[in-house]
Amino acid sequence: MTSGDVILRMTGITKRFPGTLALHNVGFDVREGEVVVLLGENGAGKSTLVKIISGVYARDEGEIIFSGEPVNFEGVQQAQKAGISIIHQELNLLPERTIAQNIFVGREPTISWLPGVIDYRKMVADSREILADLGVDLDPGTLVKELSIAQQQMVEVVKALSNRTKLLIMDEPTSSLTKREIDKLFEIIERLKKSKTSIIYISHRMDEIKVVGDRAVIMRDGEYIDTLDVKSMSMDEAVSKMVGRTITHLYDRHYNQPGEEVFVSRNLTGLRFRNVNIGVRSGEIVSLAGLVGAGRTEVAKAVFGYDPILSGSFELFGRPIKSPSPDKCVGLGMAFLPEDRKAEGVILKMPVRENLVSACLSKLFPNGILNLALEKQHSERFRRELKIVTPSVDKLVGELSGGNQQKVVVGKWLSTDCRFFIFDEPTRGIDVGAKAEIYHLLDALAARGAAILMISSELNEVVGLSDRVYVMREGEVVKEFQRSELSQTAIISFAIAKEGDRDA
Amino acid sequence: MSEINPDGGISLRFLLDRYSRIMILAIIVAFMAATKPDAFWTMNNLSAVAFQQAPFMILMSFGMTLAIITKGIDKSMGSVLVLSSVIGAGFVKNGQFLAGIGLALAVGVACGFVSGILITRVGVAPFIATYGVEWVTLGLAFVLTGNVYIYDFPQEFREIATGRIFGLVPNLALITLAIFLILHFTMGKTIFGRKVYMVGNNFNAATLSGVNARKTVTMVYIVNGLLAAITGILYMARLNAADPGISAAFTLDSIAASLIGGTSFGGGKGSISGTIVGALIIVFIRNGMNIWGVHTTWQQTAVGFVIIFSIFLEATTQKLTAFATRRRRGGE
Amino acid sequence: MHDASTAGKSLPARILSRIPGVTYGVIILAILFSIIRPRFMSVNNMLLIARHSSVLLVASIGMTMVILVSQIDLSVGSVMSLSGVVAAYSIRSGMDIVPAMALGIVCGLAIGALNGMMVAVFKFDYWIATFGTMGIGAGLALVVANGETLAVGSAGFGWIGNGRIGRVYILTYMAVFSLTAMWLVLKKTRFGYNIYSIGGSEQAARLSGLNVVRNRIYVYVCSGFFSAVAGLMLASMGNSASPIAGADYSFDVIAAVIIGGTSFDGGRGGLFGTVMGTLLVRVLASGLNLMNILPTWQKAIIGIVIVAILVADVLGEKRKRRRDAMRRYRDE
Repeated sequence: MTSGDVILRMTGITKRFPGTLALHNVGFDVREGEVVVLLGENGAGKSTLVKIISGVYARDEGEIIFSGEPVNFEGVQQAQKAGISIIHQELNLLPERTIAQNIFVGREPTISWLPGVIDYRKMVADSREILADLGVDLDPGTLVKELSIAQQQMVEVVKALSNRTKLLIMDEPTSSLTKREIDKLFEIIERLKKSKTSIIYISHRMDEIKVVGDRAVIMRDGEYIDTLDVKSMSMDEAVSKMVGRTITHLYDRHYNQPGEEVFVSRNLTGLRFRNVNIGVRSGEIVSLAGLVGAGRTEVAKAVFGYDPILSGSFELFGRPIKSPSPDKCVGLGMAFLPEDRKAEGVILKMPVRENLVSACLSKLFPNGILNLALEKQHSERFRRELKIVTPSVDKLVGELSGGNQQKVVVGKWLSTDCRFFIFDEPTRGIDVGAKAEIYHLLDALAARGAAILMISSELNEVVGLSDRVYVMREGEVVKEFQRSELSQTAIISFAIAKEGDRDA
Repeated sequence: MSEINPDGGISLRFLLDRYSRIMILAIIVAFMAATKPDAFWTMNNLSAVAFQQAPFMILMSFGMTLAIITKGIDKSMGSVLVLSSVIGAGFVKNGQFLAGIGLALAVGVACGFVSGILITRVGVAPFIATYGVEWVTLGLAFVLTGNVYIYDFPQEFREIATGRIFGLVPNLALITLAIFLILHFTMGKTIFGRKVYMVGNNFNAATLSGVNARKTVTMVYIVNGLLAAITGILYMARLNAADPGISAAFTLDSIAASLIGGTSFGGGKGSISGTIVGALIIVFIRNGMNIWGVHTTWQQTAVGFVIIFSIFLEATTQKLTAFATRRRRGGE
Repeated sequence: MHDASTAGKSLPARILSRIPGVTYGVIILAILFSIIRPRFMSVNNMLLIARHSSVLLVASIGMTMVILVSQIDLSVGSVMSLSGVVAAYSIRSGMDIVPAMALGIVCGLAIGALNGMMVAVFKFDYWIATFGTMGIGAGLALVVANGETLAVGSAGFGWIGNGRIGRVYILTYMAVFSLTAMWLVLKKTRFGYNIYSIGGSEQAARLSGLNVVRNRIYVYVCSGFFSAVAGLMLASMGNSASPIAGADYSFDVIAAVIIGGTSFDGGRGGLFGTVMGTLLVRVLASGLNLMNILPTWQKAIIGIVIVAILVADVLGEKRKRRRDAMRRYRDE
């Protein structure tokens, strides 16, 4: 293991957000030319921590020493100047601009004798050089919107590295890459290590961590837990430290005999998926597993009539559906709980009660006239049933915590007559306690005879809850697992690799 | 739109949120009544304001408010008013009242339908779609009239706007009140109104809740067309003329009234009752300045200032809200 | 990764795919008109079209920048009226032409800065804020001019609007110069790059360390500046300033920019498209004139063509986006 000088030392980092303590007294070192893997569950504070290091957030307490000097970055640009770059989880590119323009955004080279005038030629030449250096075969003049998601991800990497970077932070960089692209990224990381660049690497994939990491820093609930040597640590050890002790009865499933087929698709093809044949029976929880960008959400949105279906068909409760639309689907008893809760699941600026009745307006008020008393009574019922924590159902949903917002989304659909539910990433960004409640609810729904299609990127919840699992890769269903065959490694191996180059 | 104060008690922000505009209006009226009682506070002046100037603007502003709540705008309202009234005018002049009125309403609905389809099906930005419709409708109005007034309508037709029921309540006020009540009820108490707010707040979330958002938005523009046509008929009856030149002023004033009334271009926020207050504020400012002998040229500046003042008020309210929330959270 | 398939588009194909759709509309119309009326293609007619476009072109430079950062400036027309009136008033009261015009431009800069502060610093809704300054500007113009058209009667001022160097009008030189200068700024300078970055994704721009607030203020100041210049040009054409001269311009300018392919989504489009969007209307008007179409019909025809081009453009864009999505997916 390379052990150079300490380049980054953090002590006592604390960060508060309104209502929560996001980080409490976190501290560790990063040495020159090493890869520190940051491990922890969603909500453990990893993203907040790296945002503080890279100058996106200001810390409330604690000290950061970078390259031997105490630093206090006010904004991203200062951190960049000092040599810290970050690749965020979500892509931050300008789709209408070229690769070169994206790489140099905010610090474009200018012509020396003409202040303010951009030297585009130098920009392209420099970009070409960096791209070639990293072995990425892309033309700097291409518009970013013309690239695939994976290629865009590579541009993000190049953008971060073009900056004489001493410390590179990668927040889940492989979440939408294919196996071959991941290999390429690891090659780049090896090269960076040789040139004494340090890396903080956040990932959920245990297999990658073994390949790429030197040391692993484990965080839980906003606190630093331990540092392990990657080469010698066991996965079980790492996982138990990440999770703590609360995990034991998270998945409490009551499996029942499945009933009739509620949903069957035949060669369904849409914008980003093709020939999808899946089925869900009543009483079942069926998962769509796969990487981000594998086309799972797209399938769900197409079935719900939100995105176009190009060919193929599906049946809902035995009725063939030609051209679905959300209002038609809801009318037939289908519910869709989208992945992006704040943008698509709830209406943040409307009160809890209005959100809770938003999917069942015509059922609740058949003559078209609202009845405030009935609305209150109805929403109070679901507040009690789902234990939604809010001082009043008149509170705006935007003022609730993530877990409670998700419960509002669930409650909104429970109040309909729906018997086929699609949950897209139902536990993204909510804490462990709320997670357990959501799992319990999924189980209860299935026990009541509902059919559930769940899309999830958290393999443990896929394995823990599902009756059956379909694995999608690059727009196609590549494998169906029965409950008895389920394991995280089996799923991931089908999700990542093509038949030929799968090594599991 | 939330009718109930979510904090349970009465707070400053709640008062500001609900009554700031009424207070502005009250201050203006009180100021005028105190300083110029013999010119302002007379039956003649007040009834002129209430029954001759305000109704047209209020009706147009209602439509604009609906469009802005859906995160859109209807630039074509003024021109649809003109087109529907000049098309109706020909029949009315010949004494075929019902045909004229029916045709005018149909034209309004058709124009609204076209705007709605352009916006929801084709995907043109509302501003641009209605701008295009404005060109076409205004153009057609010019073609039909040859750019001259149509005037001198039968007295029976003019009764619609100038008459009084039982010789007491002016028809114009009654019609405006009726439309206000219908729209107020629709927006606050019906599923359709709820859907309009949902779509304006978050089009995607509304769609994914099973609301037919496109249909809802199209309906709003159809209602706008209808309102413009109704206003057109009343205006024609009141002024005894159909004039293709009045379109622009109507559109801008109705935007101003909606904004002062608390409707926000961000979508999902605003109310019919707020708009009525906004429209009255503008009408009273104009009236007050006239009485004070302030040159009409200042009136637009004043309206501009009131708009900016009302966003200041709104920003302050939001800051107060944020502050209150933080304090409460800190206390927990 | 099979990079070749996406990056491998030939250069001409790439350029072609970046030309805004309205360009084809302009070309087709020009060809059509020259077949029907060969006089359309004459040098004189071209010079006239260029002269008639120049005011709108200059006014739309600032709006293009504002829309590129996903916002809007409704005060453009009022600033035009105001700067024209202020300059005219100053000349009439004995000031030299140059300082008088500078004073007009200062008014534009001031309103631009006010807009920028309200929108960027205080985060007011840009529709409402600029609607407010629209009212204030229009009102002040009326106040300065006392509601009347001010005749300037200065030979020098009139020369700007009507003089020529060679066969080409001064106004055309001004428009071409401003457009070229700002085209270079947008395409070649740090400031231009920042505008595209902020419009493309404000979050990405902020995370890359751009000063979003300052750049937004600059954009509004630019908009004020070019509106003021356009107002002076407009006044010089008639050697007189009307306080309502700019009234309709805000909306025409926005339409020209949008028709030219710069979108409200921000970060997409540019001045070339705006020029085409402006020319579309002027080419149509000129061609219809030469064909002796009645002026009453022209508005309706122009409106229909605008709507048709918008619909074609939006539908084409939709198809392209879908094709892109499919292609990208096949590459993976």
